[in-house]
Amino acid sequence: MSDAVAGLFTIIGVLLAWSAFLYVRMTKTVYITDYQAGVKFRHGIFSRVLGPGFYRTRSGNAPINVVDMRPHQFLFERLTYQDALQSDSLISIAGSVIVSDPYLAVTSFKDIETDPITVAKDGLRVAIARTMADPSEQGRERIASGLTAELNRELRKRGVELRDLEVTELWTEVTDPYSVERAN
Amino acid sequence: MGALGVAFFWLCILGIYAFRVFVGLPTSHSLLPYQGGVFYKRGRPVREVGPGKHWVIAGSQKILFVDKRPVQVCAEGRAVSLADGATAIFGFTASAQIQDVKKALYASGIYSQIPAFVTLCVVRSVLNHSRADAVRTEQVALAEQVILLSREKLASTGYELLSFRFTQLSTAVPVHH
Repeated sequence: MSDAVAGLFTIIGVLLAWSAFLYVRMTKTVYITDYQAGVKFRHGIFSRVLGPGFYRTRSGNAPINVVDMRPHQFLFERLTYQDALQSDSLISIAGSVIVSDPYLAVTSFKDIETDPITVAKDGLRVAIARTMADPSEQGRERIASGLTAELNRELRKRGVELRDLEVTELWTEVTDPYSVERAN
Repeated sequence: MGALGVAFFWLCILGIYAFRVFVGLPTSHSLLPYQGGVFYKRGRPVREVGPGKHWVIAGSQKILFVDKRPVQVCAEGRAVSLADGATAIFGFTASAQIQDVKKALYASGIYSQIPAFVTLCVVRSVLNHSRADAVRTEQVALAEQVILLSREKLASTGYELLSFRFTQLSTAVPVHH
């Protein structure tokens, strides 16, 4: 092989090495585990949702937002309200929030861990006032399933949903169980 | 060095540099005696790892650490309404420890808060179903009920309940007064 060809190879090699160097410097590795999802944008437009794996991306033009898909538990303690019969009531509710649509969640919430819980609490205060405060076991289940369905209608539009809602405490000034039965 | 050698040298440099982005360099992580971990390969869990030194290929592999030391839970001066409309004031201490690293890691975004969440929910639920006379006279039975339910719920999240006891449990004036 002549010196000219070797020189050409050297130049190509240097250029390729420089390109690789720039590629490494301008990109970063994003690691996504199986309980996470990555929302990739390209030039400001949603590109796709990434599954588990590792990806190299240019953080400026093609950022990847990693979303934790694990449940985030919450416990709202002793919320006072008036139920549908205007009875003074008190409720504690536990549950968890999970991300159902990573893209919607990323674009709707700044902090995916805490903001959905705040929104859920806000919605809960409105929705709970439309329910009957029935402290029986069936009554609690009815309240939990009703609240789950009602709150999820709104929350799903933002890419999150409530799971495993449980009424851990319920008190109402109505002591006559028949009045609750009649109202239901 | 001949012309071929020079070309080969540069291509090797290029290959190593470019290739390391996709494969990564071997690095080691040491887990302490009270830590557990899950070894991930290309984002998927492969196996659980215990204390000691573990090698991973940076980039494609990863070890997520979990602290297995007991988590202490303490609640004081909390109120709960009872089944008969009275209010009880309660406080408790509890501790729980991770038994199943993977279960705990996947159970919550903040796995260390699970023991507090579970015990508080269970205590509140058990007391809310009890009457004032039971709170006054059957505290041991109530604590046992809490332990049973907490243990069951914590087990499903990879934890084991180590201890639980009420530090305070008394009835107060009814909530509607």
